[in-house]
Order: sequence, then C-alpha cells, then structure tokens
Amino acid sequence: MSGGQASEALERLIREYGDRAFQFAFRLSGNVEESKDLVQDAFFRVLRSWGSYDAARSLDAWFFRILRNVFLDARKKYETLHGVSLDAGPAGVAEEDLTYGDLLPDGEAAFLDALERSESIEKVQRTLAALSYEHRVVLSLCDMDGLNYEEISKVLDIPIGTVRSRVSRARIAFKRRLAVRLGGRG
Amino acid sequence: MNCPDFEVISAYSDGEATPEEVRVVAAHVRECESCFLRLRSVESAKLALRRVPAPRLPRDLRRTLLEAGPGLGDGRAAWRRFLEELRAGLLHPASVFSIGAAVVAAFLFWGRNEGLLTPRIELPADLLVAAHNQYALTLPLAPTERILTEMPDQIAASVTGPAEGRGVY
Repeated sequence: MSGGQASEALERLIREYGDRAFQFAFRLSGNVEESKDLVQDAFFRVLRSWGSYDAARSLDAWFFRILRNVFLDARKKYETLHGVSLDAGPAGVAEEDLTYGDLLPDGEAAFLDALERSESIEKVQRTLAALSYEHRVVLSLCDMDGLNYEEISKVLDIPIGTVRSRVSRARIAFKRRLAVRLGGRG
Repeated sequence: MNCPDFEVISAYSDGEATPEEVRVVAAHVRECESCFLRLRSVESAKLALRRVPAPRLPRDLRRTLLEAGPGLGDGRAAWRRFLEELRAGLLHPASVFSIGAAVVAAFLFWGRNEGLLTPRIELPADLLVAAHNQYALTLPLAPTERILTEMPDQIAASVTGPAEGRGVY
C-alpha cells in the first residue's frame, strides 16, 4: 500500500471504527491508557494487513478480531511478566458454576425495578468490568456493539453454538453480580 | 409446565433462536410469568448495557494515529516494538542500561582505536618525511615562534593545496 492509500485507509478506519474500537478496548481492559495502546496497535496491525482483507467478509468482525488479538497478546505479556491471571475474579464467585437455578423468578421484578433506575448505570458498568474476560467480551460484542452470533464467532474464533451458550452464561453471571450490587436477589 | 432453557430465552432475545425455538418460546412466555420476566430481564439488561456511557477515541490518540500511520511497516515498527516491550517490562531496565553501557563502551574503545573520536587528517608518508626534513633544516635558523605557528599550516597546505602568501622554508 502506498503512503497516500495507507493514509486514506487509516482515516477511513479511524472515522468508522475509532470510537467503537476505543469503547471495546476500554471494556476489555478497563483502563484508558491501556485502551489507547490497544487501539493504536490494532489500527497499525489493521493497516499493515489491509492487503489481506477480503471485502466479502464483515469488516466489523475482521477489525474486532484484530483488536481482540492485540488485547490477548498484551494480556499474555502481562500475565507472563507478573505471574497472575487477569481472569481471576473475586473469591467465592465461580461464574462457570452458575446455573439456570441462579435466576430465581421471585427476584425478577425487584431486579427489573432496580435496573431501570438511572443511578444503576454506574453499577452496570462496574458489574461488567468485574466479569471474567470470556463473559465480558461476549456481552460487549453482543449487547453493546450489536454483533450477531456469527460475527462474534469469527471475532472470537469459536463455533456459533459456543457463542450462544457463552452469551447465555455471561448474562446469568452479569445478572447475578448486578443483582447483588443493586441490592436485590439474583 | 416445561420451561425452556435460559439459553433458548437468551438466543430468542437476540433473534438467534431456531424457528422451532421461536415458536415454543413465543407461546410459552404468554402462559408462564416466570419466563416472561426472565425474558424481560434479559431485554432490560441489554438496554442497561447500552446506556453505559461510551468513551470516545481521545483526540491525542487520533492525532497520533493519523501522523504515524503512513510510515508503518518499516524500522519505526521495530523501534515501537522495542519501546512496547520496554514499557511492558519484558526488557528489564537494568538489562537495557547494561546493553546501552556496553554499546557506548564498545564504541569508545573502537572509536578511539580507529581515530573516530578526534579530527583526522590523512597525511601521506612522503609528505611527513618532507615536513620532518624541512623542520630539521630550518629549526636552527627560524625563530621558535615562527616554527610553532607556521609549520602546521605548511603541512595542511601540502594536503589541501598551496596557500598564497606563505613562504616555504
């Protein structure tokens, strides 16, 4: 790609994906400075591999996949360096053990009331940030970025059936944690 | 009443359920208040997530991207990777300092031996011999001050060309 073409492609990418990429990165990392680094790396990586992009494929899925890979690379470096897993959640909450029984019907109405209050937004944000990476990323892509299951499967490189079950489990985990923050039952 | 799995309700909410599941859930939530509330809670949670304020791409990052973009894929990328690794701590500051100190020491050693650290003039051997002879012949006759001030000019003129107004001993 020539300098002019690269510059034009980059401007277009920034215009169309700048804000969304930064939002996605922020939800993954929860940190402004780290989000900046992630987005910068992702844009550079996109531009370098622009020639390999197939226009018949979803640009959304391609771009977010690169962004996610950049994040995973950065996370791997961090974990190697510090010897910790960034997926480690608060003690006593095993998200993978959540079941349908965690969604008790008698808590639904109170949960809905609390959720619709405007002051709940910050708690929603904190709850999302407290989820495991696996759950946070599917909820972000599905509910916030509006990607469908097929696009998410391409971003995360997992089968559509896995996306479906993971979204479902992420919602249960999210709801359970949020219900605790909102003061209701899960 | 057999309630559908939450996964089916979740997929139904996303428009990702199979036609059969859509038929079952649509009929079921009309009869089952619990599942109706579960479906509503999924929808409400999605709305709540969409209400979360979305940060925008910072101006400084936008500017950085636009400025750096066209020069990608070259040595700058390698330099950036080095800085990233440094920032990520993969390159320990002590290691970087040691590497830097070793490079400087090697340059000083090699540069001194090669004469890179001092101004260098290439003088042919025959010129040096001629200059020496001239010096030896004129030393007894010329004032010390003249020898010290003009001799270097004589040698330099031999290299760069004759200078007007200068006598030859």
